[in-house]
Amino acid sequence: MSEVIVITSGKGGVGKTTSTANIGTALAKLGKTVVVIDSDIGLRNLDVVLGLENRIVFDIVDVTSGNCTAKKALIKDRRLDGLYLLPAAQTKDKEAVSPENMIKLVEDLGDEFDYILIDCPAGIERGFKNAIAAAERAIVVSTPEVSAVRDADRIIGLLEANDIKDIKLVVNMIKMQMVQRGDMLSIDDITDILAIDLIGAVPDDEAVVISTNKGEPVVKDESSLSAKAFINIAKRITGEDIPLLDISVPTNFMDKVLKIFKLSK
Amino acid sequence: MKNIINFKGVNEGLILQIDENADFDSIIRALEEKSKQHSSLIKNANLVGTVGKKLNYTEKASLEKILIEIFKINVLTLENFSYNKVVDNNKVKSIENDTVFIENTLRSGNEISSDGNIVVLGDVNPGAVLKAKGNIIVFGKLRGVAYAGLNGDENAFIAANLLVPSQIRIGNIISRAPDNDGVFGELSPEKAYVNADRIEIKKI
Repeated sequence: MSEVIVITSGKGGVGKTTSTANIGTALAKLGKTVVVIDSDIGLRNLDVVLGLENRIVFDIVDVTSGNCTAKKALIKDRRLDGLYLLPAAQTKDKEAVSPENMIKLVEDLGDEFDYILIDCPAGIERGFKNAIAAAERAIVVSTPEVSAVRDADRIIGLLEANDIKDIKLVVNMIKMQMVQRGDMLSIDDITDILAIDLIGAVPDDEAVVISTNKGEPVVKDESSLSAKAFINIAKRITGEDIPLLDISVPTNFMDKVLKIFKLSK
Repeated sequence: MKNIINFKGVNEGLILQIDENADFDSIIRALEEKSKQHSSLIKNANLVGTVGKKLNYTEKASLEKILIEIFKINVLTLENFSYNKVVDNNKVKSIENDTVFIENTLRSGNEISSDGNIVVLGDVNPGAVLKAKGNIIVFGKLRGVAYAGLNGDENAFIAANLLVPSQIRIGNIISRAPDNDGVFGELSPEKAYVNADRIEIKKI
């Protein structure tokens, strides 16, 4: 049975879609077969971030309304063999799909995929209920801001109320310089409030913006720090136990020199 | 007193309105009277017909001579002018029924369907969808999705001032934009059509 993971946050703009695209791509790079489902009907983005927008023929509403089968609607990624996208509809709204539809859709996709990642829309209404209906695991994305953490806390409560027990946290867009100055919530501050396991910490990285605008997930080129962070998340999803990435930034010249020689903490 | 004759401007040029009950002598007198007033305004204009009183052949001949010599008008014809000849009401109706006109930019999530043609006076952004059984014409940038010939009609075409759709279908043939084609050039009107089971594009 494929593992169904919803990627959610409550708050908008924290990087759910970017995380879904990158974790999905990273899993496929690890040799897994992955379907990423965009459940943000009416405001779809995952196709754009993956650079597959112009290949869309069928979408999630075509599947749930019986116009085509779930497998027929899948779009194969143009770079990776094991990665598929089921795009959201853009001309409909969230009410076009019900939680029951989502459960049936995931059943129809069957067992041949290792992972099914569901990109959840912001909010806690119909779109959220659709996205979590078929999920057995959840990844909650938050940024180091009190508002995002507050929403994440509410989301975790709702997930637990819907019998999703395996909930992991991704802290996204960390500005290490600000954390080191004490101006931003640290990862410890966040896990202290949310009290769930951290599965990854992703630094705020220009490479993400550049790659997103090109329609290529940042993990495609593994050199950037954010790419490494996403690949580590994918590895932890598959069960590998690997230490958290050092995303601290050197603050003075000596630190920079030490960091180059890996002598810094 | 009611004017016996009157010049009236229409799209095609000038027409001469003639009082139905006037005899020919009074028409000539009225014309001479008129020539003293504002002949320069209608000088060199094209006369495309008359309305009102029907004239016989000799009357037409002498009227034409006066109009040319005194008023310096180019007389194209003195036949009865018909408004209907130019604006065929049936034709207008059928165009209205078959064509959807959109006079604004279509944004992501907008979908326009038509049993006939679609004409957009504006841009079609990525994420917007046009579906027509007939042709699609965009007076702007077509960046979204356009389906023409929805019933399988491969004679349909899609034209735009800038034709960079994310996907187009004509009849049963689908084509999509090349990947990473993010650079849009100058506006250059192009038309997409089907030739030998392939969508081809040519400049208009």
